[in-house]
Amino acid sequence: MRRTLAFALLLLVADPDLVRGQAQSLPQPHGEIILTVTGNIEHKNSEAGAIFDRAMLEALGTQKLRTSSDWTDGTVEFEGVPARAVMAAVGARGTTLIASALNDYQVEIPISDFENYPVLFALKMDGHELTVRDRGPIWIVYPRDDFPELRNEKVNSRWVWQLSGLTVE
Amino acid sequence: MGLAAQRVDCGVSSIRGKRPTYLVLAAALVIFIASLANTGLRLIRIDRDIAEGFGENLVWTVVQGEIELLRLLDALDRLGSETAEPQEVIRRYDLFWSRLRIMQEGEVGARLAAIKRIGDTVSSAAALLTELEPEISALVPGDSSRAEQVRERLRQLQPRLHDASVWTAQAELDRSAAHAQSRREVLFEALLYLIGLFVAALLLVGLLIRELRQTRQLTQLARLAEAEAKRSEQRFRDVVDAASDWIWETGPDHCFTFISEQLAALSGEKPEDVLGKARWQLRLPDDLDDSNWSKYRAAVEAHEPIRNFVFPYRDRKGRRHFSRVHGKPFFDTDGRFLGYRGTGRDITAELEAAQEIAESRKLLRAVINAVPAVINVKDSQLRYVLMNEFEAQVYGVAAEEVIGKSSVEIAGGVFGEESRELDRRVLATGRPLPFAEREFTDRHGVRRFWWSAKKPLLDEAGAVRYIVTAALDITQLKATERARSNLSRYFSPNMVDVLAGADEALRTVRSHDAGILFADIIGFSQFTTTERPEQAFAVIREFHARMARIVFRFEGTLDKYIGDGLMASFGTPRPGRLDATHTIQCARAMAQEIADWNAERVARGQHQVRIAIGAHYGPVLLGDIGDERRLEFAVLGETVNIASRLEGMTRQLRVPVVVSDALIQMARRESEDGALAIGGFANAGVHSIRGMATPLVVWVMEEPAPTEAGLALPR
Repeated sequence: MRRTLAFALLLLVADPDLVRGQAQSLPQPHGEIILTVTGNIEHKNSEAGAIFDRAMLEALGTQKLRTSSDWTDGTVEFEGVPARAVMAAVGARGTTLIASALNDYQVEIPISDFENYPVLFALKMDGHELTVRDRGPIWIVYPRDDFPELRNEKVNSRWVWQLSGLTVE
Repeated sequence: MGLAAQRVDCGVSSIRGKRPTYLVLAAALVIFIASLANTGLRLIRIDRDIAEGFGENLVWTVVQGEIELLRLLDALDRLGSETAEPQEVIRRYDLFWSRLRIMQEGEVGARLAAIKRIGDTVSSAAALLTELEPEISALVPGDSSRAEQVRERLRQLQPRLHDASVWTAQAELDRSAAHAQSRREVLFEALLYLIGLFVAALLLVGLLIRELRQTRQLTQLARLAEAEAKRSEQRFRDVVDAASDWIWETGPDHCFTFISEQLAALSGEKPEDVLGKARWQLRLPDDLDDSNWSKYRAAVEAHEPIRNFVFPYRDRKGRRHFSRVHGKPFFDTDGRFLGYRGTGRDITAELEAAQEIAESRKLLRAVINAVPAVINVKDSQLRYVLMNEFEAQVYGVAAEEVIGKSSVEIAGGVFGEESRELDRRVLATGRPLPFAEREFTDRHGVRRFWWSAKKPLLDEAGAVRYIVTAALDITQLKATERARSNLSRYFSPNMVDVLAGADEALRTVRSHDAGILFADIIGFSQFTTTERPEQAFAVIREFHARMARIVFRFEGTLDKYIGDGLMASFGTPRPGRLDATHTIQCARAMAQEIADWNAERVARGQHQVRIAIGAHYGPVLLGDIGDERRLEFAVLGETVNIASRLEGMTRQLRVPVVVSDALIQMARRESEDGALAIGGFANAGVHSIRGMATPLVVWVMEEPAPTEAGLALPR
């Protein structure tokens, strides 16, 4: 908790844009809601918590990540929002996330993963937007090619595809 | 493995014998380790397979597909009854699609495709979905018949997906069982390898320990053996060094290959000087004993042992030595001749000693033979072991013949028996018999006297081993014994031998000129009254002794003692050239002797002795008046009487010495310097002699003063 706070403070000092963004309240979504963040968060834009459409997420800034995975053939290029940006946007105050998928899959993810690694909430793969049919609309992607310690079943279970909800605890 | 029976004393061979075992063990160890590693790898692979199976649960994926289909069917059902949104159906449709995609793609797709019929089911399901996509998109709420149509078609998929999940589960179970089985097998295999490894390692360790122990024992044995070898070598060296002999060795060519250091001490040569040479190359040029060397060479070439080969050689200083060598040929295991080994000794000293002994024995023999006396040695059986030439001649036998014979056989009869009796006495008592006279009649009937003694020679135990007899032939001696003792009383000692050896001359009565001297103590009767008889006799004895010495000094013959006086003659029994001179000199010396004697006596507070000496020169009659056993020699005649009368005349002339003019004149004639010969005498004129018809001119000598020597003897 304290570490998260410290990390948040560090971010505040480091990024004036974020500081400005944070000052504003979360905008309202206009399109289809693809991600709902609930639980111990500071910033909400609905009763349930913080809700995002694709545009809102893309507005948080996107990054690219090339990696292989157990579910793709060879290396692919993912593009999406850094997980830590989403956490900052919602003002997450916790250590653990419970990630839920459209297919009712649930898994716990320590928020420290996002601090230690540039984990991506991928929206695109090889330039194509991810759909429900191909593990979209959001796929949590770990940089497993850059960090060998991430190549194990435990981390694999955190590669949540068809991500639809996050609960901060 | 058959190694347990190995024994230490097999030594090196046991280690050699174990080498294949080690190889087998090492190979087994390598094989076991490799197999174990391989098993481990297989185990890891199996575990990974299992983990992968669990990580991406195929069954779960297929079941989720089936559930997703059921949800889609449910959504379609609800759409028909207008309780659901078409979007809900579309999302379910998409999710089901996604499930099917997942079942086709990547690792999962590959693994599902491997399961029989599942691939067909999935692909036919995907095909149906594609086929239904427009219908799904066109669905509106409340259009139950249309939704029912779609639902009906999708529903057909449900049992097939269900079957697929069952098959998948079955396949996964089979796979798990297979994994578990192969895991068990691999583990069992690993266990076997481990046991094998353990056993092999145990054996190896056991072997190594055994080897180590054996090595230690062997090392210890080796050390002991080495120490023993060193000790024995040292012993050998000590013996060699201590021995006076030297040790040598020759090769097959008979040349020296080794010779010990003693050689240097013995001959001054260094071993290098003789190494590489054959013994006959060391033969001296002046060694002419060819047969000795040829015999030696023949023996050596026949490889026979050498015993007592003696040869001369010269040391560095040129001294001739004699060397004696013994040697033994030695051969290799095939019986090939390798050379000789032996010892050598410098026997020069021994030879010299032996020669010396032989010489001294010869000398002793010669001495024994040369002795003009009987010498013989008899053993304890009283048989001759030695007889000298002298005795052999006496008995008329050869000295060598008598060895082993008894005295009875040699000497015969009474004497032989008697001799044996004496020998027996020596044998019984072990004590010598002193010299004693024994009578013996020889083979020619001649009576002989022996002066004989016997002495036992004892052995170490104290028993009599030999009896030595020595005997002198005293037959001759016996005959002259008494005469000799008589003569020795009157004649000067140098005359005795002459006289004794020439007794025939004495037997002849003859007449020639001689000097006669009488000497007497004046007033001796006075001594006999004032002195004790012993002292009086002591004075007489001393007077006689002093006077006799002077008589003999001037080659006189002491004719006889007459009470306190004596008579001496000069020129008897044979005349000399200075008989008158000797007579005068004797008279003068006697007077001087008395003067000196008196000086001593006065110094001691004793009475003086007065002397009267009378002497004359003229013809005398000489002859033996004794019998065969007793030689009595007499000097008779007028000259003797006159000399006696002249002695008596000293009392009335009051001088100690009175001599006749005839003596003085004769002395003058005898000597070149007549004055010197008669020095001290003065003419006393003509005096008539009692009992004589014509008077005589006499000469007198006054009493002389004592010499300094006489005065210097205070005592």
